[in-house]
Amino acid sequence: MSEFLGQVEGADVYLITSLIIFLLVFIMATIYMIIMPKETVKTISELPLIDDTSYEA
Amino acid sequence: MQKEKFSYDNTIVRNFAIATMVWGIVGMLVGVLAATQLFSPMMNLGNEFTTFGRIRPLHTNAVIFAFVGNAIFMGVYYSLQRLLKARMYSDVLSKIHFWGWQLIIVAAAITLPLGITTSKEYAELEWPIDIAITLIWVVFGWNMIGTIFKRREKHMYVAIWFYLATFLTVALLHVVNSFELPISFLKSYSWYAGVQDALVQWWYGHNAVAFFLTTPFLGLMYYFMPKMANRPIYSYKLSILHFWSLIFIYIWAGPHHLLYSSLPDWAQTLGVVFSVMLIAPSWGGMLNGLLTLRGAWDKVRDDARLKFMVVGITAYGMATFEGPMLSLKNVNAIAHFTDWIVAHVHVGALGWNGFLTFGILYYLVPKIYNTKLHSKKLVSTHFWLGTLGIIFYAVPMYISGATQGLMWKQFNAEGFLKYDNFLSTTLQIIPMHMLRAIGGFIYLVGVIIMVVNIYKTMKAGSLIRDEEAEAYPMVKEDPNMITASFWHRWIEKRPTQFLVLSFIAVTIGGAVEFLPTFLVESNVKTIESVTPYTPLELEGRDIYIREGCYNCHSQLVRPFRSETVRYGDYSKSGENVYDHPFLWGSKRTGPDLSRGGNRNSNTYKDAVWHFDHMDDPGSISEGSIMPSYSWLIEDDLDDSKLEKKISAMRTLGVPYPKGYEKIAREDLEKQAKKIQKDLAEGDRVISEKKEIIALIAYLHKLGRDIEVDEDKK
Repeated sequence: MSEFLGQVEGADVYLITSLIIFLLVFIMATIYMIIMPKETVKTISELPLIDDTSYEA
Repeated sequence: MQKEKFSYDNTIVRNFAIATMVWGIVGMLVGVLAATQLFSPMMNLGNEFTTFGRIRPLHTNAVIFAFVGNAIFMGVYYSLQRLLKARMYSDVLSKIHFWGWQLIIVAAAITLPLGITTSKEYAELEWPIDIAITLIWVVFGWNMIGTIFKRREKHMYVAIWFYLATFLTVALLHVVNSFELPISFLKSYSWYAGVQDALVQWWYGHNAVAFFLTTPFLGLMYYFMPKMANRPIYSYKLSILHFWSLIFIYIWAGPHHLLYSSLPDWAQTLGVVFSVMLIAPSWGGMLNGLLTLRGAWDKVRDDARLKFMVVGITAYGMATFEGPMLSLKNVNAIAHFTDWIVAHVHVGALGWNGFLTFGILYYLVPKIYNTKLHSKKLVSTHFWLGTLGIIFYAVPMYISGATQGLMWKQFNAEGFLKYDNFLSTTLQIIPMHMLRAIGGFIYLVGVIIMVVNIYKTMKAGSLIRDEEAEAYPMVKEDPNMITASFWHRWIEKRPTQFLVLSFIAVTIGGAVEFLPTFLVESNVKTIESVTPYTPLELEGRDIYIREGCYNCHSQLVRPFRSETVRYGDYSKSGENVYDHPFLWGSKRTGPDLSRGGNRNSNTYKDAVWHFDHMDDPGSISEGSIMPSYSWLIEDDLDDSKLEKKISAMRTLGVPYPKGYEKIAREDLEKQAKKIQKDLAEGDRVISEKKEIIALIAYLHKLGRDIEVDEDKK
């Protein structure tokens, strides 16, 4: 794989940049997911099951 | 605090449901017709409007934008109102959206058989329809975002995130890919050329699959799966990670449609890497959907609606595993241009989109008609017919795809192509194509049974047009209060910011791939000997586009010995710099034509051969499945727009000399007379004004410039 990538013109720059951007997004999404309070998650996940009444969190 | 009374608009849901069923049957019927054409040329029905080249885009547009499109709107209008505890923002906008979308579909159904097409796959519709799509799409978004702003539920459930991302990204894809220069009311040329056009097109094509066939359906899955299973989604946190990773990664993967093409290597590699990464979020979503049934699998035994959902989500899992595998260069080398891709697409379309749509229809029609399903037994019959249909469709196509891929590459001990006649492969896979048509037909029968069942359900109940509901109004929170869920609140309470973040996520990938391809000159190396099309060749090219030849013939020789021996030198980006639009194609039902004008190539045929072949392909190549194009011999070439075409091409950067459009007709006539003379020498006497002459001129241009280049060497 590395031999193949080595032959591609400019591949290192594009691949590394793209992977860094992706990692940043992924890490942000993961942190965001982790810090969500359990209660909120539970309330939201039950939203489709409540058709006609609202509730207060 | 007092609850507010309001009502849900079910009429719009009903309308989209009916449209889904009607267009579903039309689209699939056209699909079955197209399938039969691939083993019996007679099924092209002997006229220009129903040839495979024109019917295939009609089928794809009908099932994607009419069947699946209406199903998306049906599900979104049903779930959005209930998730937000609010009626749609405006009934008028809902109606404009519904009728506008149906009109667009009718316009597509009329123009495509007439040969009015841009030739760009899944974006074939001409510029006035493109503008109508943009306007109606904005109406849809306006109505949806308006509803979000007037909601009574403070949280935005993840399904709505998927709907918003769908709206935003489809708008972006459609606008960027539809940049075209109109030359008349129903004819335009793509703004981009050659390899750049290909990159934009497959960025669009791939992401139309992502954001029209996938994200809205994931949103629907996240709403309807918990509804049917009567339990919340397996992991809400996973759905959030799923959402951001999926929308971010998908957008980069487009170049995997152009492997071994003249697209710069780095862009191809990016496409492969991100395609493989796509497995993670796709399977995260699939598992999240399936695991929702954890502890409730017994319900699947009795509820055929859940069976549809489970098989649909499993089909999604299979297709999203297969997709990344197909994007690996070694697999792609065999699978590209073959029926394997058709099988892959249909596992997604018939399984994921079709089955989820059926499950949702069976769920919501009885709800909005306040009744029970007419027959559960018929639902079960539909399920088994649908499943059988998918198997009978997919398995023969996998066999056929592998057969094509291997036979095309097979050399004998002496080092020659074992199957040097392309037709030998075509004839080999005919039984598979027959089985595929049977599979499609079985699937269609299932759909007809569903329509009868739903019609009877509707007759038994009565539509609750305005379904009464009540909910507490949304309480405004103290903006200074920072809680642990600050970031979540920040995003979900602000649809505008949410849209901006999604926009950034989906544009990064496109920008990294587009900008260097467009701006760095070394990425598209020009070739000195490549000249613009002559006026006659340009007219011939437009006939090639009108007849949809690119649906069966590629114009892209990949750098494999099996292809260079069969066709000629491999394709370079510099050859296509004047191609507005590019015509590389994506399937080889017939041989590649990009070296058709190169006399060193095995695919070169003289004018007399083309004349006879277009008139009756079977008489030249016994067993050929290509339909007759006899009208090209009978009809006169309409060159009335020639001047505009030349001027438009110059505007797009093709170096025709200034004022050339005024003398272009002289050149056209001169070249036509020469081809007429060649034909007359072979006893084919026709007027030089006939369309076939222009088409022959175009076919003889393909690869000819490269031939000159080689001679110089």
